[in-house]
Amino acid sequence: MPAKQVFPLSKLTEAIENVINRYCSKVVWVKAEIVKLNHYPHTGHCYPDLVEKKDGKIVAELRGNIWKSNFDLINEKFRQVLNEDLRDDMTVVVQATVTFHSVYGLALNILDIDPEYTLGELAKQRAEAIKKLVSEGIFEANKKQRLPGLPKTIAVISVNSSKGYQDFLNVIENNPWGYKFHCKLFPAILQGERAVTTITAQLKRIEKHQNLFDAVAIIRGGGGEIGLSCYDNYHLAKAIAQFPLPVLTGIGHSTNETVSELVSYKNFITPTKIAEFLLQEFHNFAQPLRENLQKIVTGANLLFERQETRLEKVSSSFGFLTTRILDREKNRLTSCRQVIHSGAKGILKERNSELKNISTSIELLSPKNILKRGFSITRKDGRIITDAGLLESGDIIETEFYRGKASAEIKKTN
Amino acid sequence: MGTKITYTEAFDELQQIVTDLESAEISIDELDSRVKRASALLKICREKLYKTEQNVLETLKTLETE
Repeated sequence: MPAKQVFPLSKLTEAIENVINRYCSKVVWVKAEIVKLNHYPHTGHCYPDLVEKKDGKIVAELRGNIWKSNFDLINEKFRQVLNEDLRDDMTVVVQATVTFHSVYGLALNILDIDPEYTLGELAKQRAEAIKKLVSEGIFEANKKQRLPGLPKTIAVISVNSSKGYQDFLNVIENNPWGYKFHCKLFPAILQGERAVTTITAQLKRIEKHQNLFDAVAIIRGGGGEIGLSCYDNYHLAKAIAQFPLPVLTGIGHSTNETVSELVSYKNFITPTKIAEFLLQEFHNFAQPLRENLQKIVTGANLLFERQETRLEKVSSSFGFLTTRILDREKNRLTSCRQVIHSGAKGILKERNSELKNISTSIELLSPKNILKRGFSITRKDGRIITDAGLLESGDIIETEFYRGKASAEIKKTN
Repeated sequence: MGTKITYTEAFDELQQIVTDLESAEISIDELDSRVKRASALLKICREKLYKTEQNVLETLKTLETE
């Protein structure tokens, strides 16, 4: 049995290194996903974990190295082309060589990364996120939430040090109309790779107390435009779309609207615009109140004026009408007096003439007037004789004429 | 004669006398007393009317100055 040949480990690794350097020293373009960038700021080097996934499963994995000088150049290109830092969860096409180090082992030494590919990849992810949200029927969900007439308690997802947050508070708290808002800050990282997890975590916290709040505002501003592709993240956009309160976004950038902004209840260019919108909601509520108050005042005044005019009319016609009544009574009294006067006189006159007639008749019927007309009265023993049968021959009768009397003796009766 | 009689009562009575006079339904026996009554009623009405007129004019004057 031949004696065993034992090599020190370094000899083996040296051999491996030789093989790899001889056969694998070619510079190649490789497509991979950066699971974790592992950037060390104090040295400036990166040791990204690179993988390839198929149906969500890792089918290849390799560590990478990006030395500081390369990383600075690559990251600058990314910032210019993508508005993003190189970060976790990016799919990249890298220019690299395979290296082997006795201590650190196998690695992909990354010389360059093509930002254009990643840009396309991000756009693809964005489009996919939108498509997925639409197909799930939740793209418009948050827009259908109801914002209360007076949105006064606002859960703010931001950072205390953010200029945008300070602008927002400034406008809302110093509004000259005295509208009162209550803002509660839920601190989160608002850009870069950790934004998705911290913002969704805060949304979950707010959701637990959703009864206390009227709306959520995601506010960022003054932080430059790097690292905003997190707002295109499907999970963050979904959390916003499905949130049970209206979510207002004021992320403050000049590029295309991100998916999170598209699905939000309402998106604003700046945090200041959110504040102005909320104030406008208060205005919209207060305006009809002010108008109604004015209507009441005007209406009341009009009623008063109308009644005053009526009273004036009544009082002015009063004098005229009263005088008319008084005049009418005067006239009635006058006519009464006249009627009494003429009536009484009339009655007197009538009775007078009646009396006169009667006295005339009486006069006409007196015996003297009859005797005057040739009649005479015959008496016997002082008694008036109207029947010749009562007389006998030899009776003495006395005849009275108009003037004088004569006695006669009856000689014969018939 | 009671001062308690109202203008309307006085006037109604006066009117009755006038009607009676117009239809000559008053006998001579009554005529004197009826005319006397009418004259008294007329006096009452005139006085009441005058008083009322003065009061009303006064009140109207305060209405205008208000």
